[in-house]
Amino acid sequence: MKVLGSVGKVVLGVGMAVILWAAFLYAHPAESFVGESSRIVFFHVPTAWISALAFLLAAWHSALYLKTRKIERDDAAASAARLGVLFCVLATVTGSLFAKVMWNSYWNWDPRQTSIVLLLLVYGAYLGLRQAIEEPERRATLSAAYALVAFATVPFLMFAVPRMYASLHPDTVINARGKVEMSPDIKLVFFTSMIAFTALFAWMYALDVKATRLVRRLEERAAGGHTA
Amino acid sequence: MTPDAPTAAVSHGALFYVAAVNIIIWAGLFAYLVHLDRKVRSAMARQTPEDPS
Repeated sequence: MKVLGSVGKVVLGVGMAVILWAAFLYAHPAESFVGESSRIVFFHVPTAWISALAFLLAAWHSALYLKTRKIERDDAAASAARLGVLFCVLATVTGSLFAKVMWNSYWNWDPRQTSIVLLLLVYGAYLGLRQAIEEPERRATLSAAYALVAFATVPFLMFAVPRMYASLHPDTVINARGKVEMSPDIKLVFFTSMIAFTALFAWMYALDVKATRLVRRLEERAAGGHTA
Repeated sequence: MTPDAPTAAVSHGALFYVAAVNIIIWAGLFAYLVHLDRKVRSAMARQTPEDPS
């Protein structure tokens, strides 16, 4: 699985540096936000988007594992869930920093904060489940079933709950009127950042899947098995 | 917004400093990813002749 070629990696490396420069020195802070706090949107929203994408990938590969019983699908699901948790933690931390500046408190159990913690617990349990089962096929089957159930909570926790209860959280990128209301400079940096973060995730994901397969093969050799 | 939330304007120099620190952190992360990429690729190349799967 080759996601980014050498040119793609160079473009990502330079592009992300340009985005970081633009996020702080090109885009203007949005109105109605305290100080420079609105700049977090260039990092917080992409990390939250990547975590949703990763959890979707984990569910997709889990469903395919249950259908085909190919252990490579389990590797892909595990990698996606791991990275999903990583990006979900990053979204939580960046959101918390924003909360400190806007509401003078890192944590106030806002519906958004509560739902993201629940999501972390759900996928933390997935990673715990994987650690708890040694036998590869049993681990893959149970984890795949769990990943499908876990993913059913994602639309609810990420999209429904925050809209059902009053929240301090600012409007979503596509607001209730179905529009993206950002100034052109913010919009440019924001969508470029979304693309760059997605490319970064694709690279990290491909790397993690390869590394997971290598580790599994080494474990199989050590155990004297040849199931792959 | 709470009454005692920080509202002071941030200077251009401070933003420049934050951007520079972020770019340095990104450069380190990027270099580490390139290193991992090479490591994984060479491990796969070493494994392939013995294990065609």
